[in-house]
Amino acid sequence: MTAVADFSVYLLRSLKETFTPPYRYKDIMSQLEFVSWQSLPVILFCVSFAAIVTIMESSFHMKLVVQNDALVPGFAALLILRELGAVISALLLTSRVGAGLAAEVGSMQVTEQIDALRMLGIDPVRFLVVPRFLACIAGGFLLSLIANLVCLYCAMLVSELSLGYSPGAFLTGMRAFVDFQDLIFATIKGATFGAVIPLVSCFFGFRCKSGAEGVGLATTNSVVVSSVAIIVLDFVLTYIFSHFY
Amino acid sequence: MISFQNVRKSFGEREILKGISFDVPEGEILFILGTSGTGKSVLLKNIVGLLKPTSGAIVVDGQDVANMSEEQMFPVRRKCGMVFQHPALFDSLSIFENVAFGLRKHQPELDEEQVRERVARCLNLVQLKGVENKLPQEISYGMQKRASLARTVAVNPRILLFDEPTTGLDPVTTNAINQLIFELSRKLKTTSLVVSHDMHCALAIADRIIVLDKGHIVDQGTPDALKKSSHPLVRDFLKEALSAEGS
Repeated sequence: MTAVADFSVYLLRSLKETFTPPYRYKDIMSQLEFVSWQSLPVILFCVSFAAIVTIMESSFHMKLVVQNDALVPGFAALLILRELGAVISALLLTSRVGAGLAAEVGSMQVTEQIDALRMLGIDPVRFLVVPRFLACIAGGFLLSLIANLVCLYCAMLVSELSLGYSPGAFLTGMRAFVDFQDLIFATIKGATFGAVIPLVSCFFGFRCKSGAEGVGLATTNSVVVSSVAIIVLDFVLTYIFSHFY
Repeated sequence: MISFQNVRKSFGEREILKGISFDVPEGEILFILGTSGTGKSVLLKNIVGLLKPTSGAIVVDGQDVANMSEEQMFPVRRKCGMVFQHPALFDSLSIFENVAFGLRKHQPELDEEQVRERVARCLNLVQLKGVENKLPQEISYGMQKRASLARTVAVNPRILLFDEPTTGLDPVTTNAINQLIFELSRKLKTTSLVVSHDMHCALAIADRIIVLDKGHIVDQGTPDALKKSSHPLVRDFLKEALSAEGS
């Protein structure tokens, strides 16, 4: 319960500082580069395979049950845009960026760098959390957008090469099931998941106990809690967005 | 002037400081000695609000800092400089940037040339030259400690707090750091509180020594007065110091 209360106070402080200029743009841009550009290869690699598996499995089971996989492009696109692209990107971002942030802030905590910041009159939340928070929101948005587009492209490629649907047929099938707003909702999900990662990771970093074990524990906890939070938030956002269809 | 008035500090069920009271007049070099885990560092961090006491008052220049908010603490921290147990240098910044960091924050009126000059002076003070462009991990631990000291004195604090400044250092660097603490305190006319378990050094440079054990002050006085102490822990510390002198 203490942790929940502490997190609530920390969350409010982080939000207050986020909306209080001035901003350290150089720091935000370098974090954005770390979050988005450096994460892009691994995310695109993984979501491409996820898209391939999705369309192939959908086709296999549809053929098995209804002896026809004509709806596969539509279903696959629906699944990719509404869940796969944003969630897989966010979970990968958690393991890459979230773990890194928790370890970085945790190390700063145990080596008294956070105390040194406070002694120099610098608010660690403002100095460490705000640039990462803003960068992760923008990074989550961009990565979700790119990941979804690449996912759809991979699904289209596989449906042509393996299932025999031309790109035109794939896109026509897709348009019957998904709309532009699905892509908008996917990017909103991406930005929201992105916001969760630095908040949770830095929180565990700040609470890090001394020693290598402490840093390890902070990192593990941050990844677990971020992942759970992303899954729960995905449900909440999906429920909210369902009212717009 | 710093005054501790019946200060208690607990972490959960565990009480670390059990009603500590003492005063530190301006300009004094006070050593706080004790074995590991007796609450020496906790005591120091309470002065600048990095930890909050469970009860009691801590008065710094007439202001009780015990219940101050983080924002209210800023002016108090501005008067203080703290050298931590770890060098606590920012990993991503060069030594120059580390020393200039607080200066740029606290004295924005300084132009780049003045900052450069002040940083050079502070690094010179701690006998560090030619490391300005290196990252903390590229220099030795002893040099990192000295750079940390330079960063602390760069902002001209009136109160210097040292948390085991010589832990983990070789005897030569230890002596150099201790000498530096003495010279800085005298040169800059600061009030200095040094947490340590080095009685040898305390006897050499302290104006007064407080010995802590299990959250209580067990003895205190000038180095000469403490040499006559009959408390077993103080005697142990003295024995260790004398053997260090002998060797």
